[in-house]
Amino acid sequence: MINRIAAAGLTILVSSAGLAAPSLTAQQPLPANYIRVEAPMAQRLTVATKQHHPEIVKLGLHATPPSATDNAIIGSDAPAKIGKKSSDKDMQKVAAAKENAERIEKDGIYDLFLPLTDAKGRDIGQGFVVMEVPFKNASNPEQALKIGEKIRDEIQREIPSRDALYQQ
Amino acid sequence: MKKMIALTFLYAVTVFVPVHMMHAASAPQTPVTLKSWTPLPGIEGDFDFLAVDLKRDHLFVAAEEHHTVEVFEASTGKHLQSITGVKTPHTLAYVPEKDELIVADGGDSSCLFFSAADFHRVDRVQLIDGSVTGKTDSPDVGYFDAKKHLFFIGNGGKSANLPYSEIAEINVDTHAIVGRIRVEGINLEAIAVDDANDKLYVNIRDKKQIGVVDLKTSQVVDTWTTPDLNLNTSMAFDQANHRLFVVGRKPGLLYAFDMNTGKVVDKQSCVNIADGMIWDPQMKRIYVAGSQGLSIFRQESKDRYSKVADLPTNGGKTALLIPELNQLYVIHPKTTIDDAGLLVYRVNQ
Repeated sequence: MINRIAAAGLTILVSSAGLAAPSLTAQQPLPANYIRVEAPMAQRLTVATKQHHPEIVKLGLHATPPSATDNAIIGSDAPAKIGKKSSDKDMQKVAAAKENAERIEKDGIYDLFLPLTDAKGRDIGQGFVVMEVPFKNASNPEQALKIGEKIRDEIQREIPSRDALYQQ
Repeated sequence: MKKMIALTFLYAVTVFVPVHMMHAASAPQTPVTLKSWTPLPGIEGDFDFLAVDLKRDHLFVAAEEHHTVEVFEASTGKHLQSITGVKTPHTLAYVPEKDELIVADGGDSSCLFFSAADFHRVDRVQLIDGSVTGKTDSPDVGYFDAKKHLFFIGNGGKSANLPYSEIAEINVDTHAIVGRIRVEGINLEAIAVDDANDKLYVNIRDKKQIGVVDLKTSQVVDTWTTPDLNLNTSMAFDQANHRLFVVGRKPGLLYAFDMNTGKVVDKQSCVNIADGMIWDPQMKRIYVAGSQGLSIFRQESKDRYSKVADLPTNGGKTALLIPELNQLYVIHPKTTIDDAGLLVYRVNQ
């Protein structure tokens, strides 16, 4: 019985939707702050949106993949970041469920956090987007958030459901 | 080893469930929670207004470009059937005493009456012919005054190629036109009626004005505006505090007018391309439905309003609140990613 439960446990751990793990032996080990993520639609959407918005310098889409335990980057204009776990600071913002613009003097940008759902307002697994707006494009946090809201809304309108983010 | 694997599994199960719930529990309560989405495959084009027959648990939605009225089970949002025999339905109203559904049909230049029991057409009242331009907006806006047993219905104007509009007053018991209010404007939008003071308010969108009508004389007695008012479309009012709420487009702005003075007391940014607005006197909330989503405001005082949520609704720009069911409904058209559909929300305290 324990064998069967253990086998089921392993199946859940390695083959959940949104987690790419066809074979334990075939994969490279991940850094501790990464999980395996395969979300082609999320990645495509993030890259396409970023290309249309030169007023921002970074764009990342975060969510907890179905059956995963960690919230992570599932779409990014920097592909190497896909799978990176969301920071504790980001998760505190998720819990607050409020958009946020932080002024970062040393980088000359507003660092934005905006909650994200699907097009109908349904949960996509603690979804949010992060992006950076340079000071030259926004003179205060409110202006930066306006830019961010517009981009977030564009992304949101293209998400039919949580599952769709992990499909081709 | 077996023990370790089993423990790993137990750990995984333990962690899987509570992590999501922990965050959900700590998140602030949203004013509404999406309960269900009913897809409407095969229905294309814009929707207009909604109405309810509580006795039968029927929710009606005007599918203006599909040329039907769609019927749903109000409590669950389940789609039941389509009512045909309408051309371009806009405003709907249900009259309980007559057990009839009223349809302002812009494609037919008429006000139609249907039996709410079997949906057969009972009567047709001819209005100003709007077929000359093919715009199908004469009539468009309507308002059912349950106390006076009158249905006010805007018609004429640019759809009828006329330099003015009319608001016809139709007695819902006899189906007769019992009055006509001439309005110097060619694009009438939402209407609100203040029974206590015998006043009717109407958005005269082409003039960026709000018309104030004395219902005792059926005359426009005043017009209000404010410098940045643009494409004023939706309207609702708070009878107790004498505040009229108007929403404009491009940009989306909510205005609160003092009905005693015609002056703006507060202005707030809201979703754009709004068509529907609801004032909820119990919850002290304003719901604004627009193609960008649903903006929800709280009335802090009669002169101060704060936004509590902006929610995506897949482009749904009309909504209905049914306090008896504690539910809010938004209907959205087909999009590039989804079929048309009905969103049903639970209203939270």
